[in-house]
Amino acid sequence: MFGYVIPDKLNMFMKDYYGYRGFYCGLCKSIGRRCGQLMRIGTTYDMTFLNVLAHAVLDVEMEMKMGVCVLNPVQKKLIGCDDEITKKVVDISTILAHYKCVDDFKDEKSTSKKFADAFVIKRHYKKAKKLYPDFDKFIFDRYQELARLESEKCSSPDRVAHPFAEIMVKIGEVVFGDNYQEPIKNMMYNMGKWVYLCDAVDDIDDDFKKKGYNVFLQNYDYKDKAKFLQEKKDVLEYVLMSAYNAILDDFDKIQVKKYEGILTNIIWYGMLNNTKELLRRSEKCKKTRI
Amino acid sequence: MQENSYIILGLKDNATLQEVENAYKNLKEKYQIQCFEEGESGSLGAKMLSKIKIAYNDCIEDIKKREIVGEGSIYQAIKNLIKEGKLNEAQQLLDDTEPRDGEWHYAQANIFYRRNWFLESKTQVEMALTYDPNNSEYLNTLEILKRQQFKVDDEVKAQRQSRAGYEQPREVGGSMTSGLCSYCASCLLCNAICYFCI
Repeated sequence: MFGYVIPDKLNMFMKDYYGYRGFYCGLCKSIGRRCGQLMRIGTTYDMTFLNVLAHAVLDVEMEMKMGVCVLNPVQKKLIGCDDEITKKVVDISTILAHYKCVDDFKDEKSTSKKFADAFVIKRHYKKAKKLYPDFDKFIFDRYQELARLESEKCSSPDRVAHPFAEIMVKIGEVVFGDNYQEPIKNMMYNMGKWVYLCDAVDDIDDDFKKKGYNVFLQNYDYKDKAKFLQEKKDVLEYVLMSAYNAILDDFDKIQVKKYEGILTNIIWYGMLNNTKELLRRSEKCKKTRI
Repeated sequence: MQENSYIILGLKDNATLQEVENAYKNLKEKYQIQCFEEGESGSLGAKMLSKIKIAYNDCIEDIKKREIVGEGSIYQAIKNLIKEGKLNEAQQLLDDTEPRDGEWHYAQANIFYRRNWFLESKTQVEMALTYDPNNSEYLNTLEILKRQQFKVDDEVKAQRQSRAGYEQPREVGGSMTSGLCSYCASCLLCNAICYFCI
């Protein structure tokens, strides 16, 4: 369920691009320091976005230093330093990664995920769980709720996306603390919903082949993805674009002094492009690289 | 709620909490004695005992609901709850409300809207409109819900200022390339025409 909240690199100012990359690399390195090198694979754009948003809303400057990365040991680039907010984001992403692996194992019987969880993620998850017991409990409950809806073969996109959207709201509560204003809360809700539904559209082919649950497969005779996108166009466009527009409206209400460019690029361009792309193409979304 | 819960307790529909409690206490004493009698009368007493217990619970629930609703209609109370952001309470009140007519579906649509469940909300408004096709309030809401999908494409374009140096959102990839293509095409066409002229 990750990799949809991405920037539109081609239409990004250089300053925002370097800033964003600094955040991304900083998060990756921070994960390495906190949870070991193997966990660095789990760095996601979504968590980077959360980190940028948190720094922007809480008005905290991210300290950047020149450094090298193991992937490119020659060229030095800007890398964000560890701070309190980044540490929080790392812990949250560890907990989420654990639940995602458990969920994927349940749904798809993906053994690689099971191994990844057992040998790599689990011990870091336990550490993070100790720091945020309430948060962990909340996510556990929401995944149970999601499992219940899936077993009932729920056919309403709004209902089935609700638990995941609530998880996003809770994440905001942990990160923003007392600064958690109503527009941000609402934006987090719709973002969670948008991500869940994007994932459902993107994965529909796999879900159909593996006979897994997918909200858009309910009450629908699925043949292939191109046909599906055409026939279900009205519903798909409505659910994705209505959530996206709600995000835009709430973003208008959020005033930030820092990193506004990065956030604007992601929300205004990146997410919109992704939505349109998703509704147009029958192949799965390509993974972008920063 | 049973239709005759108040009647079972020997009360009127607008009985107060105190009256309900008194009546229940008296009847309970009466039937508790009766249920130890032999034969038909004893079993009747036991039956009545469970019946008045259910009636009592119903009445208490009804009185609580009446307190929330107050003087106005139930839909007004739901509206107020939605305004205060107490969506779960509003949903519960609505669930207990019968019959499910246009107004009911419209209230449900409002709750869903506040939850950001736009598709569900739209469905509910459409259901409300089947009961009352010309209701202007329902039609307006349906219009707002439909617009939720197109905001980025139409109306907001004019309103939203650029932010942090970025122009207002648009379909970046698509519109740019298609714009370029039409430009290229017109250039080629001009060129071709010019060649023809010479």
